[in-house]
Amino acid sequence: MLDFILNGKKCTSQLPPQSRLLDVLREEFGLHAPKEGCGEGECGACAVLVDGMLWNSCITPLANVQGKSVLTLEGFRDTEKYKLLEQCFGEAGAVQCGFCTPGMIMAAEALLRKNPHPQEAEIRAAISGNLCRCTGYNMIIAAVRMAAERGAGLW
Amino acid sequence: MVTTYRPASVLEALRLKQQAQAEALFVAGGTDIMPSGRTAPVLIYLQGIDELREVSKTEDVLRMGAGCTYTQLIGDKRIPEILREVMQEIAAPAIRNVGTLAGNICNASPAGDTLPLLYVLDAILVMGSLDEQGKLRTRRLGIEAFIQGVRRIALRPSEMVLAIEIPCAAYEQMTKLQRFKAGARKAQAIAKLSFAGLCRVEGDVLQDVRIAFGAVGATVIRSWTIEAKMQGLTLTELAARRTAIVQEYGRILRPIDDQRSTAAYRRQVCLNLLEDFLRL
Amino acid sequence: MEDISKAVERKDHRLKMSGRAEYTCDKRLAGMLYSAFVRSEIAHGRILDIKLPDLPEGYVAVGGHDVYDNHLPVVTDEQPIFAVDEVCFVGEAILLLAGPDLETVRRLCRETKVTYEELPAVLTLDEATEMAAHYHYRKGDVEAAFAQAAQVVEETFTTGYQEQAYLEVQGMVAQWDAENGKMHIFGSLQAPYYVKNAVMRVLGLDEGHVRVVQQVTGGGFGGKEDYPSLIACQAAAAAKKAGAPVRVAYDRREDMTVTTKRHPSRLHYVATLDAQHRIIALKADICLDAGAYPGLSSVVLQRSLNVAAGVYKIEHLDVDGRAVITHTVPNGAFRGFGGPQSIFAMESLMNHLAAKVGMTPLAFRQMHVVQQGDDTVTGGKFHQYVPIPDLLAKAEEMSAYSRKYAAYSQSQTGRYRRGIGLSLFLHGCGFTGSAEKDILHARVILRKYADDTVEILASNVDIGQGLKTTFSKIVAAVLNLPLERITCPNPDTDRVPDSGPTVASRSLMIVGKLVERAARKLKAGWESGKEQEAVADYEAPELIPWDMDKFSGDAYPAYSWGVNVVELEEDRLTGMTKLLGVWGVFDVGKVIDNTVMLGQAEGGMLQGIGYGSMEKMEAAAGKIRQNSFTDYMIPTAMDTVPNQIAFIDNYYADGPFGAKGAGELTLLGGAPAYTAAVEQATGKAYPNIPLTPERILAAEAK
Repeated sequence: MLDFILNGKKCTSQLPPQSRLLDVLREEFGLHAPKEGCGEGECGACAVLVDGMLWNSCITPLANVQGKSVLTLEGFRDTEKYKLLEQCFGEAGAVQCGFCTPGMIMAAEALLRKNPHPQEAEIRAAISGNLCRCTGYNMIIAAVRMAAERGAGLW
Repeated sequence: MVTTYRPASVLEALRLKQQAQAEALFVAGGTDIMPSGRTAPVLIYLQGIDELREVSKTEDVLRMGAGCTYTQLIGDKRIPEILREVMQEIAAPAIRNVGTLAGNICNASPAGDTLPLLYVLDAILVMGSLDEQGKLRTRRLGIEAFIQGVRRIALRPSEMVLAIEIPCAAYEQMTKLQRFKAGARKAQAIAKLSFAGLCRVEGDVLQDVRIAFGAVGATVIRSWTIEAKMQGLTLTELAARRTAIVQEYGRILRPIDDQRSTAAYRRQVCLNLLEDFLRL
Repeated sequence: MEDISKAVERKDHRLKMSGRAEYTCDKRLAGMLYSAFVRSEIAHGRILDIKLPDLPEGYVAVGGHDVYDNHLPVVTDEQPIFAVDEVCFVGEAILLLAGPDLETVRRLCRETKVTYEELPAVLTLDEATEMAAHYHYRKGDVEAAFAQAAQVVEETFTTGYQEQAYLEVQGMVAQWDAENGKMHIFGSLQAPYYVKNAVMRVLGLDEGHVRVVQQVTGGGFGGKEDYPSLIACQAAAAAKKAGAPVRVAYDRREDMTVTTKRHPSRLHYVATLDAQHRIIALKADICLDAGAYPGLSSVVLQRSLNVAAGVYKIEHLDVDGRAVITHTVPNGAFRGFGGPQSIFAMESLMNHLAAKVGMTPLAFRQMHVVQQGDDTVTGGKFHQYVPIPDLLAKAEEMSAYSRKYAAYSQSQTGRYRRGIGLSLFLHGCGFTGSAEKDILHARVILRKYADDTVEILASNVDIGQGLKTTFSKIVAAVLNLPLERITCPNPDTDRVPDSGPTVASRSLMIVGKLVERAARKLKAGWESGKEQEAVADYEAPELIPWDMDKFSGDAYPAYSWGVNVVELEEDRLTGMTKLLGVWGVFDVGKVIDNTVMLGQAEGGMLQGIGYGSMEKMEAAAGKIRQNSFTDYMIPTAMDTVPNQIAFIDNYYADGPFGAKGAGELTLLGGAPAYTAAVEQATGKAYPNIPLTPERILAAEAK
């Protein structure tokens, strides 16, 4: 039994502490936005925020989120910031197959929280652990820039 | 059956470790252990120990707690810039946010990104264990003695790493600091090889020189013998002997072919970087 | 009417963006079982014995004896669903175990003992003798041309594996409805009817008793053209035996070890030049490594041969091609489909020939480019306008190629050296030869409902390339309806006709045209408030008939064209490179959506550059060495630079609103432009890709 905050609500996992956070999220709590792309921390499809920092949930032992606050796309998608990102990702054509997208959004959010006006190189670095095979990244980078430009005061 | 603990203090962690001995595995960020599938009958998670995340700096020593993540250290201006650069090139943000410098050392991979630099910085591992009275007892070991081989370290079954210390005076006086990681891409890459070189030139004389190579042997390769031969040379003498020195290093590198690179490439690039570094 | 190219938000954007899209891994069915494979650990051998542990209640094992017909239909049918007597590559499936707990299933697989008698294995293309396919064609009189040669230049090129590396691994869920004797398949796939036909045959079920539904698919790039048929059959066999739904979900290492990849190849070229430096004859001998079973290799090889001379007009040609069988993982479809190998070889050859005769790569190319009305290599015709001069002019304007080429031709000292490379390429749109006409007979249905919304019923899938959006835009434009009134659901073979697979850059050009024609029919008979349907069937354009035996005629109804330019800096000490600029100019007819097309270009170009540079995959003793995202390198965001991309309008009458095939074209030029840039920086020639820093430094040592 391990307590943490999931998308703003207190929750308790019944799974063993050595479980992968990704499995806890997907199987126990039915949160399907985080995806498994590689299972070894290389692709970022499973990325979530833990206390505001980007973590790969596929290599996070549940024990490491005890008492912490975990945010998945499900807990973020009703916010104004998300709506702006959704619009910008749409305009920039930053989503193709969509499989990397939930992790990519969390990476973008992690960046913008820390740095609301990132330079292009900072965006590249921020999403460098999120592999995308469809877009070649530039349209994602454009989307994040667009959100940063339009998002005055949001972040 | 796996038993897990999440101690809140070093003493508590050490008590658990003392009971379980080799049965127990410490887990910090988990970035190496989780993907490897490694497990143990007892898992002790260290993230709850705040005292392991302390950084302090005196005139003589920089001390980084074993629980410090790369991200934390990258953002700490007390850390030598060259070490922050090395850490900035590790993997990607989500790994740097949880991975620890101590974890990189204890994982003892020949390709560990921080290792060559830590070797030339003469980094020291501070280890703790409990004495007969149950009080904290510490022991210090240079990184070159701490890392014994591929995934082999000199940590005793009842010990844990508490901190990494770097003697400040030496690196602060260095006049040339170079390091390089050859990865197959610009993020999320395991090093094919890595290089670190530091030296101090006073006037025309090479006073201190330290050189280390990663991923070209079971452990990082640093030769105190060759370094000693270089010390005290004038720059002109060094230039005259440069080719011979490079060849001498060439004889002690032990690169292999694997899925990431070739032995020939690893050797050649190490020597190219060395040769470039020795142009003083 | 508004220009159709004007970008809109994708039809599936909000669904995917919000994480609500249901991929195969998100599919949950009551009582669903998890599964894992027992696979061959050796490259070639006879199976002597299989010892299964005792299976707990609720667990099943299926193998070749559990299916009605143990042959996978992909062009031919050599590949078994499960190996029974013989294993032919490391990772070949022997059994599928399924049960309620995944960890238990995996343990049972580990405890299953297979005893083999090892047999000699052919592990490389060079050793292979058995052929999966062999074609040959000639044009003109090669011998006579060689007799008059002023210069003969010979070169051998090799290319490596390339892994599709779709972010979503392969996965399939099968559900057996025992009461009605019907198999329902849900999965990540590009070709619903390929899967349906395979399951029908392998399970011995008829047309009405197999249903295939595409889940949201996380990328395909060809990797989900042929392969999903195999796992669908395996999952279906298990579901039927277990009487419960079964999910097959690969993990990344499994996926990279056992699924199809781009064919490694060896291409031997001999070029003959006359005194004016013109290529008068070319001989090409192309060999692809098919892997253990022929699969799609014959068709892949056809495309390699059809583009063997690239975009160049060469009077006399002799082209021979073989796909050979080895005891390695079978290779299959990957964006470009045989094209990237030939284009790399031919483009590199052009650079090397230019250097030999002292011309710039661009000037030498310009002497040879084809024009409208010229013959194709197989005696077909380039029926439409060939816009290479326009593409080149635009590329020059954007990249300043010639100025930089001249600058970097000066001697470069210092640690970093710069180079700029250019490639020209073409892609034949749609299936090779007469398959559309003779085999596929694609059909599209538009269904209009009483509320005047229109649903597009076709078997082509959106795997990220934006097909739902482009199809919907076509219908909306014809019917002059808002895009919201058009729906384009994921195909369900119980509802959609067979409009063919989502492959070969055919979906938009061929099927999109049917969508357009159906929409025009619907418009002609439009009655508001009434349910109506319009059907369109494929009609072949008039072409020079394709003769497969002679390998002659129009191989494709149309061609798309492209130019890539890559500028980079090489580090003399490490052989590592840094991109400085990437440019692409493409003719895909009329662009149906600017943003969708830009996405195809951005992603395709990076896959092409990855293919030429860092994407190293090799087999050792028949086992893939780089079988994870840790070891197989696809570019990250830090490996790219902002690209500049442009499209040239070149209306194609047989495509919807003038559109041609676009998806594969964009991958073709990256590798040769990249290697050309490195060649200029270092002054060496590199005939092998991926051109890793290891290869760059090795050449330096010579």
